[in-house]
Amino acid sequence: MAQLSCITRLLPTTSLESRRIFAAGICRPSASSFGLYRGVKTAATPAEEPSTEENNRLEEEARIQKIRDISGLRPSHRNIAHHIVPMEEKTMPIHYTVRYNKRMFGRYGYASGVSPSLCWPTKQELDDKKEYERVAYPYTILEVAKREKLKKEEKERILFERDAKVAANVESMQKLKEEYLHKKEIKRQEAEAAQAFRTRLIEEVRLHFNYTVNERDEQFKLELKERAKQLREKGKQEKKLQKKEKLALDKAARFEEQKRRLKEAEEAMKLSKQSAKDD
Amino acid sequence: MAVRGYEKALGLLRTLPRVCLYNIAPIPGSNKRSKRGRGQHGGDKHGAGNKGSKARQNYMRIGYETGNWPYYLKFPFEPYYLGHHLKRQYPPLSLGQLQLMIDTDRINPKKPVDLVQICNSGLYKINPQCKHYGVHLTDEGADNFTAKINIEVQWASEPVIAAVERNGGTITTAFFDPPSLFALTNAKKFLESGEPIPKRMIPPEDAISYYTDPKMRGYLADPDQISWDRLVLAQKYGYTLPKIEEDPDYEMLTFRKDPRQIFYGLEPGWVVNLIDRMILKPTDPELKEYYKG
Repeated sequence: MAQLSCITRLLPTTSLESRRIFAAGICRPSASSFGLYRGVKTAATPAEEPSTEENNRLEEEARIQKIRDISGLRPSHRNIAHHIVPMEEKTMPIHYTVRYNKRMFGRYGYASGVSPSLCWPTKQELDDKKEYERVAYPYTILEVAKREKLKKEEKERILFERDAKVAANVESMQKLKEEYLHKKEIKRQEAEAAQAFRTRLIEEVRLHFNYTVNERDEQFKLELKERAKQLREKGKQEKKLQKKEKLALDKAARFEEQKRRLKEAEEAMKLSKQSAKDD
Repeated sequence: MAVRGYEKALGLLRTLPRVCLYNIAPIPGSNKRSKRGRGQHGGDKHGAGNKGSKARQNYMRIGYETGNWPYYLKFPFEPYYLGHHLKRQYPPLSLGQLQLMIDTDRINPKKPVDLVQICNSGLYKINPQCKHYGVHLTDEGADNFTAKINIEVQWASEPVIAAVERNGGTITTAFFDPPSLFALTNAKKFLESGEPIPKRMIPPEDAISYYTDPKMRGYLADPDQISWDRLVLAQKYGYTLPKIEEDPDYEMLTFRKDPRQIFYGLEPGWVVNLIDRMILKPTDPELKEYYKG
């Protein structure tokens, strides 16, 4: 198959390549109908008809030029290589675009035949541009700078406030720490006391049974409960007694106080009477 | 006109194809079969091996690790890459390289140097499409930098500014938006497009503090403040600041662009035609106003 395709390529009449050569070269089929001469730069038609001699000379010149041109390039490509406007006829849709014409003017200047007024935006395009800028750049340089400054200040303020808060917290931290440690100590003491109470109870119960009892034993547990209840009651009664004693003591103290006051009053009376007598 | 015999022969010769890459037959066997062979012609497993995803042509999706917790999901959040793809980049150019460019006549120090000159040297390339926003002049080779230039870069650090100003030169940091950068990096291509020179847009909010900073010689900073900071920097780095007011190149050294301007000496809105050597200026008042500010 590869061999075959090579052969087809060798045949000038069947390949597009050869058609291009035909178009540019000697054998000229009906050119306009072929549509292959779109890029040929047509010579400007002179206003006056030249003489036949002149015409012949020009024709001969053109014929010789054609023979001389062995580059095998398409006319448009040849023009590009020689920095000439590639094609004067507009055949492709792109040739009618503003962008293409602008570029033609940019590359070939006035020789391109494009009006330079095309280079600038039209009224509508200008309005679009203005609208884009209004949306994309809503602030002036000064305003942007100001906004940025405010943002920076806000950031700094937040940082400063946080620093101040941390400093204040650090100041009160010592006190809070001590409080916490104190609480912890109390808790520990309480737990110790509870443990001591329990060991004492167990010891007492053991003494009661007079032998080592399994702590998980039901009877032991019951006894333990009983003991605990008794101890608690005992404690309560003790507290009550203490309260009573304290009340009694208070009462006695108050009585003593009253007595003392009366005595003082009597003495004062006596003293006043005596002073009156003396006077 | 009758076509002469030898001309016809010559013409025929011309039409005959020459030996070139296009009409040489390929080496036998160089063309691979596009079809899957059968039987003895590469049949059996067709080079796909025995069993598995390759034989069945059902490859695992990218990133799948056959039941492992895949790598791309292992680390869910990498904050230091947040917005990484959107960050402005300034490809570096060292002071040593700049000195070399000047010494080898790739850059003319007698004229103000900007991105156009640096790109036209052919030794430095940026691509605005890759978020490149211009030159970052780095301090490598600062000790050997001796040129007196007026340079405009897009990013520079304090030692770089000091190195330039110590030699009696001046430096400006200027921002260019991407359309302006396209024009600057390949000025010829831009001018040949026939487009009017665009106006430079203002820098984004996160860059404004840099370009309005006189310490960084921002193009939007107050010139008086800049001259004061030149003195301060000279004292900080311990060199005597050369007086550019008394310099014969004073004009060149203090030549600056307008904040809306892109090219030195060319205003926005102008169309430059290289082939006709012509500058075309808009006359429409509305257009003029648009390109002015």
